[in-house]
Amino acid sequence: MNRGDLSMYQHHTILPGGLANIADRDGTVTGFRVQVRIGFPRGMPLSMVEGFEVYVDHDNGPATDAVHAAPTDVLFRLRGRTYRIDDLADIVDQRWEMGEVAELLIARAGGLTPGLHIVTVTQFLRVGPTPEPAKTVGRRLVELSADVGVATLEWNGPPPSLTVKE
Amino acid sequence: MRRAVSFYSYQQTYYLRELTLEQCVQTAVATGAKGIEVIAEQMMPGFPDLDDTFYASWHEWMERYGAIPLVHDMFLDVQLHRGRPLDLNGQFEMLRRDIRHASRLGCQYLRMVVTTPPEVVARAIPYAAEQSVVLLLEVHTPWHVEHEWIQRHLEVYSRFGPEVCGIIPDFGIFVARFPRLQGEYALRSGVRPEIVRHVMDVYDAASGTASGPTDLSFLVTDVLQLGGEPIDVAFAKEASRHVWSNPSTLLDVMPYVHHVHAKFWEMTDDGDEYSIPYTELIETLRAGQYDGYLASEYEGQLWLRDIDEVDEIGAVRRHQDMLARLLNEPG
Repeated sequence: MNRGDLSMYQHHTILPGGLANIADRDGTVTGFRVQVRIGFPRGMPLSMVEGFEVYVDHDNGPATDAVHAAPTDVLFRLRGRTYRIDDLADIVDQRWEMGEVAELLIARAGGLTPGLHIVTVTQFLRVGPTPEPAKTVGRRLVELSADVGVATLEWNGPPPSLTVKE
Repeated sequence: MRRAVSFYSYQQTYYLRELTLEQCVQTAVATGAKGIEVIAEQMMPGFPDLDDTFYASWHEWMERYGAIPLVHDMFLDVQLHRGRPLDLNGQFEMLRRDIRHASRLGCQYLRMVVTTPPEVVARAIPYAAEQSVVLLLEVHTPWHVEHEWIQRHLEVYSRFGPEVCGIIPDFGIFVARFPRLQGEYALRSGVRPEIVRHVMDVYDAASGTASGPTDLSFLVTDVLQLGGEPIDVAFAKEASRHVWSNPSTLLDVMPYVHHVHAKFWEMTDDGDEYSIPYTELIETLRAGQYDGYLASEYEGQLWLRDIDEVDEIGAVRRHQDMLARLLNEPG
């Protein structure tokens, strides 16, 4: 566990009611989603969104009933469209606006257990003059929503075999 | 000298959807400021493809609230494509796009980020002049007026003259005292107290004097010697980005100073800024016969948002009150 982080925006990048399980069309719970706002004080083309890393209920090391989603395991959903992170690299004419809510979708059979979870989302955004992305860590205690978002999400199975629905 | 507000100041309020762009205009004007500096990529969703309706609304707000569109703040997305940085041509095209936008907003000035290459500016100046937009490089930490990079820009600008290009000094290059909000934030984040103390002491000893500019990059070495862990080193790095340079350095470049970012972090109970010597800076600008705007640029939210104590609207109001006082405006 690190002692803290000096990065910007902190908990405001994660929405207080932004955690919910997601289900397949037949009702099987296949994962969860986290609602996030951009970790930078401006919007940017999707091509500059380098990726996300998501932890639930732990930080670095292994923990019981903890989730760690590596950048390649996260799907990004904005304005009704779901993207794999690598798909974002070529999208220069769509933007994630400042303060706009996006969703990160993460596969986890059965989803998360009800109750409070510590959600940590690291955002990597290629905003500077050099290729190294800026890193923002948001962390927040969020209660798993009982019913929000379950039916509205298109979930296509666990990465990396999933196909992205337009 | 006149007063303006940069909407950078209201970033978190907008981010959390507590103010719309129109309400930012109203809120800024209510402080007595007239000039508006606006960041399209914060508050104009859909940029750069904004339609006529948007620009029509913008001008309607300016008229309704008696505001003056002044500056469009541009960013240069050099890393737009993964693994393939924009070449100078691509950067020029992006700047050209933003010049057109500034012109449509009715902004006289365009703020270029400090990393913009001088070659790109030189290429864009003729188009900017055609669009009645003056290109201004923001002189921002860790650079300062006398820095080689800024001097390179000024050399290029001297070929065109100060009517079409210039600079925006950001008052963050005149940090006389280490921002205590940043020290408190570091403590809450877990930086070791003795390291926070050391960094603040070293900074304060080196700054605010007749000498300068400061280069405190050795703070990182200091902190490593004190047994600093990554977060302590990160704090030292951030701290060493502050710059104290002598306000008199402005006097050498006054013809190129068209606009000023009146940066601030903390208004004290006495109505002054904690870190930046505003009285001295405004006296210097007066001596240089500056007659442009001072735009409040609040950045204290950075060190308060973790404890939800951000009041951007109130901070800007108190800062504007200070500016009005220092400019001897009739109360």
